[in-house]
Amino acid sequence: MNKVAHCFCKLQAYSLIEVLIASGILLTGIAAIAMMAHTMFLQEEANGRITRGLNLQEQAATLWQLGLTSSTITNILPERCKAANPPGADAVCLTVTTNANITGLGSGIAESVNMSIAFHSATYANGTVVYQTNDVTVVRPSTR
Amino acid sequence: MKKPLPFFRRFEGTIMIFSLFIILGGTLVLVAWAQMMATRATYSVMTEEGQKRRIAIANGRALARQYLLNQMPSGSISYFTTNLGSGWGGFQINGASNLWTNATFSVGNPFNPFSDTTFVVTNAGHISNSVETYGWTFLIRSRSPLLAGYPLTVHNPGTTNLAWATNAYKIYWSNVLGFSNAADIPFTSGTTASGTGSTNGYLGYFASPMNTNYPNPVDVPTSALSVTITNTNGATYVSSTNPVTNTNMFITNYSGGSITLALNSTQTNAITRYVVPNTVTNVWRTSNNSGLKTNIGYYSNSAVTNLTLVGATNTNALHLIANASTTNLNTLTLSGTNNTRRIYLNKVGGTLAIQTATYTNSYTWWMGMSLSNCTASIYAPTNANKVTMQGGIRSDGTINVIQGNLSVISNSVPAINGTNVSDIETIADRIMWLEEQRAP
Repeated sequence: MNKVAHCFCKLQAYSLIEVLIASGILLTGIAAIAMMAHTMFLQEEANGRITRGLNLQEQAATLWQLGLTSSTITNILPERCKAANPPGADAVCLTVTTNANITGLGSGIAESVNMSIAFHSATYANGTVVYQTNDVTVVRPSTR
Repeated sequence: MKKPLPFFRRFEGTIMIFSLFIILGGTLVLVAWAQMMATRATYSVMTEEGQKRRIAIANGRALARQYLLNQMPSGSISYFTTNLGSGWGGFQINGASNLWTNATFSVGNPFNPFSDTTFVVTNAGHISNSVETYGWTFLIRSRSPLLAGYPLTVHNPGTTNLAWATNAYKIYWSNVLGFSNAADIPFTSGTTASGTGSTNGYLGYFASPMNTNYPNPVDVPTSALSVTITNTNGATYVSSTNPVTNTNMFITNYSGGSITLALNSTQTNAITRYVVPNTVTNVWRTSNNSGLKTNIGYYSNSAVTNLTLVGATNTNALHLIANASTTNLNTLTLSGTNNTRRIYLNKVGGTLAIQTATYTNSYTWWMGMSLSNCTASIYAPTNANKVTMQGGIRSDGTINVIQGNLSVISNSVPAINGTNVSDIETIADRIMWLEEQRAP
């Protein structure tokens, strides 16, 4: 028994202060990472929404260039399209405005529209929905 | 300084290095994660820019296509460049000419409906957005649909309205062999190219108005073809004194009346073009008279109402043109039951009755025709007999088989190679279309 006690007497450890300081630093780091992760997740969610929204707009532009009407496009797109702007958190608002025809190409004309999309891109911490809009100019031949 | 336990004292250097590696690895992971998140954060911004560039390129293509489609029917393209504002796309096109008359036959896109061998004019250009400029290749292709395997090709007659205007524009199918089950227009139908038996042949329908711009190779002779009058009707004798030219012949002048022109089978040129006149002024008719003298009839101001084609067994190409001004011509007669000469007819306007010389024999003729704004009536051999047209009919008007049986089958002659302008491909009118690709 005395032999064992003698052995532990030789053990040396960090002081409580050292451990507390180290733990404090570690907790600060963990808290920072947790906060950053939360922010990143929000950013990631926003990125996903924006990417989907822009991709949807590009597909709509391609469909219009292929000759479809705007009403047909909004009917066949995989996202729910609403006429109201803002459209709400679970839909998009796709607006097609006809521009003046492009002339000067010979006897024919090229048709042009302004295609605007509004979609839910992010949500504030208090639950407020943030919308983003993007406008593109799209052209298609009148002979098709 | 605290001293480690004796047991660990032997490993303290190793522990330190191991710890440092763990810290280094963890740091790298954290940095990579943070960098990845930063990349994702900027991704949406880059996506927006990329989307704009792609749409701008598509806009440039649309503008270039519209410009080319405007220019192509004229047969030539002028250099042109334009750009939309704010970097929303633009193009630049080089000039090109001889689009309809181009005689370069080459292998190309195997997926177009006109086979992989077509006439092609390659035109280089550029498509651009706000940042990038891509080389673009526009391939202006053309070929006769009949010779490409569609022996019955129907065009929309409207020039501004793509609907068939009235019931006047129709094909009466009942006696067109191989197409008895054809559906309503518009259609693109067919299960076999030949259209023989009970199966439907390839049937081409084009919503575009019919364009009869036929090639005009410079080396197509317009003569070297024997033309005679085979019968007359109503011509009047206009000269009281026959102008005797020598002791063995005398000439009688006739004027007016309707006549039949016969294009004889002798054709020495590999390719010949004959423009059917509306009124002849210097056609001679020869007949042996009383054994001593040859009576030569000279006809002037006579309306050509019937054109008789005499069948031949050569494979020379003959291009017949009956312009819209040839209003008197109303009948085309096929004489001889067999013809291998490559005959192509272009008829514009009016009416045309196509008949065989007899109705009790079957006729096999190599013949293609484009009938634009023309109502055609077919008078074919009856009962078990038929007239077979290898080549076919391209029309935007009525084709009515009034009598007998008509069979149209596709051209079996292999496509030409290179620039063999003596081939029927070079004189038949064509359909033109546009293909494009990004230049490598």
